[in-house]
Amino acid sequence: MKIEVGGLIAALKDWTLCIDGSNCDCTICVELPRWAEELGEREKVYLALYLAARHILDYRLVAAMHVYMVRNRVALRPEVLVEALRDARVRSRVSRVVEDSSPFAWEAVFYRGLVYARQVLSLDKPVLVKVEPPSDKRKRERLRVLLEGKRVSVRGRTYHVGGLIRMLGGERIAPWIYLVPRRNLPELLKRVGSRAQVIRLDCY
Amino acid sequence: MYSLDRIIESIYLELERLGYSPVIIGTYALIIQGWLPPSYIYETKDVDIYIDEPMIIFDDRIVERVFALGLSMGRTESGGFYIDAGKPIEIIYPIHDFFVPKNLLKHVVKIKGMRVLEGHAALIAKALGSNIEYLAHAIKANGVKVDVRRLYILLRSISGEIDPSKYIVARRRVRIFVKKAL
Repeated sequence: MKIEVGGLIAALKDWTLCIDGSNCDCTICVELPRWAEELGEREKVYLALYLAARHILDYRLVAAMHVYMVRNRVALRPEVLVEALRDARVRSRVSRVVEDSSPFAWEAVFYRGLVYARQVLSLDKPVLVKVEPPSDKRKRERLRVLLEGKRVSVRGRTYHVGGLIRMLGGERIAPWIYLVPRRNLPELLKRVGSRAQVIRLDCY
Repeated sequence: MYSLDRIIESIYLELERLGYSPVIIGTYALIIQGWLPPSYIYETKDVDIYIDEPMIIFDDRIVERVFALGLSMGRTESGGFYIDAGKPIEIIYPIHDFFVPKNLLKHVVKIKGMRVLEGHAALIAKALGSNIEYLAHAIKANGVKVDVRRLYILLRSISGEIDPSKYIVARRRVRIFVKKAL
């Protein structure tokens, strides 16, 4: 099983993690203990990310593990993690990020990773935006279609076509007021461009 | 406006009603057992309630219940809950491999109907996450004699449960504490 770690943390782009793979060209290979075969797929990935983070002491991997845990709603009992630490084997093509070999190193990396993960997860949260429509009626309608899409009826059936807000994972709350994931806000601003002004209604 | 103690009790009861087994840990556990003076509450960062269930982070019922009590709440860096009650009350859960070992959780006392981690066990639990040497003076000044042997027995009892590097860190912190507390 291969996982693109860059999908969780953009800073780890091109990093791949494989579980129980042999002779592979992945960045990190994790051999889970035999008893871990009973675990589900998500639990295995979570466990592999934890073991990889412990092995190379990289706060970005800690962040990846936490982001994976929150997004996939998966968690393992700490005793399982500690046991896996004894039985599993990890090989990596990258060297340890932290040279510190003292027992305090993991604690430092861990907390830094958690704070980083929180920043990444905050990008998933929606923000409330108001689009100031242009006064020209035709321009306004064109902008509305760009943002909300168009209803098209074909042989008595109605389809919803296009819609930038929906494409960006947002939704319409009220006329010209939308909820958009914070991560996609720059894309919205770019696509709307000079056609209208986009105002964030939340204060943070 | 209710007192902090009343608010903690009501949150504790709500957590119990949700089917969890909360345990009071941290400095507050030492305060209500008389190991530290009541005024020490002003020097603590928060009040910690530990729940030995990693999936609690995804339980939205907690948010609903806390709001129903008329309190506001937010999330900590680790994804846990903190409740604003004048002094923040933090609901802590086993976050990855940072947790209170089961062998420590066996040592609880009942105070005002709440399960509170016993003093020595509370110190060991604290040592797993942070320094405890700063508590030595206050505990000594409060007239409490720490049973050093018991501290080390408790520490040894969790050696199999936690990862060795964490055990070394905790042992080092306990040693420094003992030097100052004696």
